[in-house]
Amino acid sequence: MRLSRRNFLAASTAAAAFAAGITPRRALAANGIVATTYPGSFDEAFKAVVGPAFAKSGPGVSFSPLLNVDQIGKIQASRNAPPFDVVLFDEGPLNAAINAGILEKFPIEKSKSFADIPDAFRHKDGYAPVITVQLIGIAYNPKKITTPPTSWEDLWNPAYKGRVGITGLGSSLGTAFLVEIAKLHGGSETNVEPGFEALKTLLPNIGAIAPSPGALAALFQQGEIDIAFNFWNNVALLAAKGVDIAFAKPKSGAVVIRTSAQIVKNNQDPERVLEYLDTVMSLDVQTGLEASPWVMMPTNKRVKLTGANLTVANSVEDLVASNTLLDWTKFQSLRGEWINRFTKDVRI
Amino acid sequence: MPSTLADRLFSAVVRLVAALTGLLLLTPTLVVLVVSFTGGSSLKFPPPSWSIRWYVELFASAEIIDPALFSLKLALLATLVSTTLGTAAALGIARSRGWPARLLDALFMSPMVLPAMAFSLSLLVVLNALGLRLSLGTLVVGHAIICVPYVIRMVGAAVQQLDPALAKCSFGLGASHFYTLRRITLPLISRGIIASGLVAFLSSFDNVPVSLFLADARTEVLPIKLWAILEGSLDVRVAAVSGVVVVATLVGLIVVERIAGFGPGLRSR
Amino acid sequence: MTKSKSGTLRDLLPALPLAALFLVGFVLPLTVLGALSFFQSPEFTELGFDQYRRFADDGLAFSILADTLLIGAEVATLSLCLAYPLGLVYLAAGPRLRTILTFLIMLPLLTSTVVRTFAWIVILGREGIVNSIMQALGIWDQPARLIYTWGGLILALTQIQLPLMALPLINSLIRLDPTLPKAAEGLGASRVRVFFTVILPLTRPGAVAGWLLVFAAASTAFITQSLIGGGRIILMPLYIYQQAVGEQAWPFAAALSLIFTAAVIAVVVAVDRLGKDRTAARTARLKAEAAPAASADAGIAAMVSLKPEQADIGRPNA
Repeated sequence: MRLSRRNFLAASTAAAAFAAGITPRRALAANGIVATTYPGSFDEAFKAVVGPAFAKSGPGVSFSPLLNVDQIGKIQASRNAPPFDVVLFDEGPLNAAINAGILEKFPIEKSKSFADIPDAFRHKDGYAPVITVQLIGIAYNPKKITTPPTSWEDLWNPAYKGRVGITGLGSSLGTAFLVEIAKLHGGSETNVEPGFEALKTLLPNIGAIAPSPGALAALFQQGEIDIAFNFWNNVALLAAKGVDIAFAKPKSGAVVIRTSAQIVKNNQDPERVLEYLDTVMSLDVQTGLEASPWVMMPTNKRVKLTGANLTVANSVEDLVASNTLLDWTKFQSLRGEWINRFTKDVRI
Repeated sequence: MPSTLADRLFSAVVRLVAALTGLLLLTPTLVVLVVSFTGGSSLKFPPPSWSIRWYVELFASAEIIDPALFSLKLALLATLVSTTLGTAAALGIARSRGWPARLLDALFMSPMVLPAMAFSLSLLVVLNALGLRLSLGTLVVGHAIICVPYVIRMVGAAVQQLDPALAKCSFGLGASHFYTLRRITLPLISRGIIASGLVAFLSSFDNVPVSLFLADARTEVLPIKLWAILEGSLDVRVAAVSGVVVVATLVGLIVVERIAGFGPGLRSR
Repeated sequence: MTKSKSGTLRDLLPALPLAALFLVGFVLPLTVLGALSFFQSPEFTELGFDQYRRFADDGLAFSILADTLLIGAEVATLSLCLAYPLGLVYLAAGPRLRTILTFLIMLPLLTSTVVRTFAWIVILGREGIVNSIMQALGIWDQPARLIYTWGGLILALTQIQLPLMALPLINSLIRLDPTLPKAAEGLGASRVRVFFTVILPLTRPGAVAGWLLVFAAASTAFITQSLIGGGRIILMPLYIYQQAVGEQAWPFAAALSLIFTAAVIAVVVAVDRLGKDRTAARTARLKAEAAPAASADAGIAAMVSLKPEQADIGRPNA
């Protein structure tokens, strides 16, 4: 349920207020460090590629796939002995985590892999760099839609009446779409009014408002919808499984969501944590993650894109140049208001 | 016996509605079971071809088997705690009519109405404040608490139907409280206890919100694992898991019926 | 009841272990939650009633609460209407059919909530089972939108929560003294009358227990509501969650949780009282009146003209 998975901040502040003053308890480092992953393909990829590579250098890593990323909440509830040492965040939740004060900055000077990460993927305030990006473009059913879509405007094509799927603003996916549409209609990261106007005109075309990106995939499979915005990784994985689904990059560029692995304050073993981040960013591991069947987008500039990934970008540095980034810091505080607005306005 | 038109109509409607209800109960699981035998590599319905490959793959997947075994252990423990304590509490509450009983009844029912996510997060904060580390124990406590309302209500309903005269007779014949409980009360409400135990077990086995917060970072429970797999990858193994659970429960019910005589009809004899 | 107060408290002794568990595992966390709701802002700086005032002023929150209670009541009532016929058939059935019915009733509990989401897309979708059948029968000339609708959600929740209704109800039905309906019928009452004047009143504890369980479970079923309701039906659990996630307005979310909990408890207590009133007394009286006219075979079985009920069921096996 990605509708929440990336950003369960529920408890953050609350838990903090009550967890303050707890006696510190150090976890035993004997089992190795604990890192979170996103459930699904992320988790499988990390277990298959990152885990074995990291174990070569010492005690290994346990992965904890977190669904409704209650990551921040869980850390806040036990600040002094956090349950994880490394956490994975999309851009929006990352800002919230930084504000909650649960993250440590990245020791750039001690890092082995940092030099290979392009500027766009380094954090401006010194937190850990981006380890992979997710591209948002148009997913469509090539059997039903024979002319590949070329721009976001295609979702409004009257021919697709009742065939378009969208998801709500609980997910990074739905939020990114709203902001991008607003920008294309003259709005901005803080003014999404044009985005909501555009969504209203999209209503006749909308066949389903899925509760999560995962449900969008299921809707595709059952022929419920034929076209929707979605993540590139998801589409590539489903297509590999034989689902009738293809990905089109809109001419305005795909929206790039930067995902980073961050260091948790009071983690049990700072050295192993840094080693872990270096492993994740290393050429070997990034090459492994980029390869089929994972097709995750690498951020190490020495990795050459291959196979399906080449259809959406030429190189790691081109990822940012030819696509769109959103400034999540600007609208993090507005998202709640948008969610309420979406609930009231977008009804089919 | 005389059978009027109204009577026959009534019987017909009763049977029709019962049949439709049966269909409603059956269909979703049936769909999942059918899909689990697909020869394709996605959850498409109807399946393009047939095969048992997903079951073969499932039994080779330690990453699913391990959480399943853990969930089984967790659900058994949570059921044991909640039915034992819950039955005792239901008996006590049923015997007493005063406001303390009503208060306790409301208290024991309230986990059902408090959003589970809010409950488990608050419990996590409290556990941390008490300096307790997350473990199987804390998880069992959380699960047992959300299972208790089922026990209180279902056992409570059974107790309410007990004829108080039975216990009085027993006492009158010189039987002790304990003897009466063991020989009269418990056998009479055993169907309620078993039914509530089953519901408690299954709701613990399928619980997401409580495990989400109270499981430690290295522990995975089955429903969360399934969710994780379904999200994004639509893996057919999740349907195969359902197939295994359904068959295992069916076998379990039959075995219990044969050995203990607690029928699938939940009879006590 | 004319019991002394100390007697009442002694009767409650068996409830003490559970009460102790709840004190630590439930009351304490609930207190924490309650304390949170009295903070003015998510920064936890000032105390006050702002969160509750916000709820009172916010029409959206109130309508969501009303919708949520409504869906709980609708699902519980529909479950009740479906469970009685199921229970009557069960009662009249032989051992084999009973086995099948029990399994059928338990079935929804056996399929993971998560995986079932997919099944509902298959059933209610545009090209799904229901639409295909209705179109094939010529009842609908074009596919109807079923998925992610109020009706679809009611159906899905009913399917999932039905066991909570059927189990206590069947339990009640089985424990009915089989001689009662028979006696009534012997006195010339029709099946319809027997059902409404004998069976319905006597099985009220089970029915009320089931209704309450389903009501509470359906109104708080966060995962089913969100996954089956789709992105457009917002009910209380999801709303609380959104407040926490989107706005990180934890104090407001805590206040919403408490208001929601209080509202559900209010309904539960009110309905529960209806169920408890003098049921036991009435049972005893009816038994006394009907006993002389009783005969061995079960009258309820005649309700659905199936096999006679095995009369030993539910009797003490001393």
